[in-house]
Amino acid sequence: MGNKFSYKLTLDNTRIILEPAQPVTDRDEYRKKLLALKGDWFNESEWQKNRRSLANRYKNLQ
Amino acid sequence: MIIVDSSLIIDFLRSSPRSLTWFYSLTGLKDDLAVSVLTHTEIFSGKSVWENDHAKTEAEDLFSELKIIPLTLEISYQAGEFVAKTNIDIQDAVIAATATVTSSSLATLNPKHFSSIPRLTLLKSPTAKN
Repeated sequence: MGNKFSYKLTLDNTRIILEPAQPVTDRDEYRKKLLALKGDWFNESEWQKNRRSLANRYKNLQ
Repeated sequence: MIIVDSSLIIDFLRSSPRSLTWFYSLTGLKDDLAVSVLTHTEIFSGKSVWENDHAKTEAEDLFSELKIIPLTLEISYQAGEFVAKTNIDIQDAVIAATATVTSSSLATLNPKHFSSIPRLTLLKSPTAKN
């Protein structure tokens, strides 16, 4: 079951209901992590330059 | 499995809000998501990734739930054939071969780059115009 399994506790008049909660998956945690990324390190012009450089290298070999 | 092309990762990194990007929406599916090792290299080839720990951690987080498919000999053969028989460039050929060899679909924002590749299943972007 792992340690990511939890229970949901609800009150229904005089009854306390304990039921399995939806387990948090690695994918859920990953999605949260993605939205928390700042991404300020990504430099698009540098990425484009690297792409062009590789393409040109192959062209120059021909 | 879905192979995510570099174009989706780049789009994700430069978009705001990121929750509206195609890449983010794919992470909400149950399908396994993967990238070619070339896409991983492209992101890690940024100088700033290596300039501070925060940047490197974020880049690692970005790939943490994605399978990284290595450039195997089988993928290399297939990519070579694609380059030889179509007008695709080598980087795109490796991405396309990664998808066909692993029997995966390809999600790309540049479908025209891959239109000449046989037996390749391209996913349609939700924002694509017919």
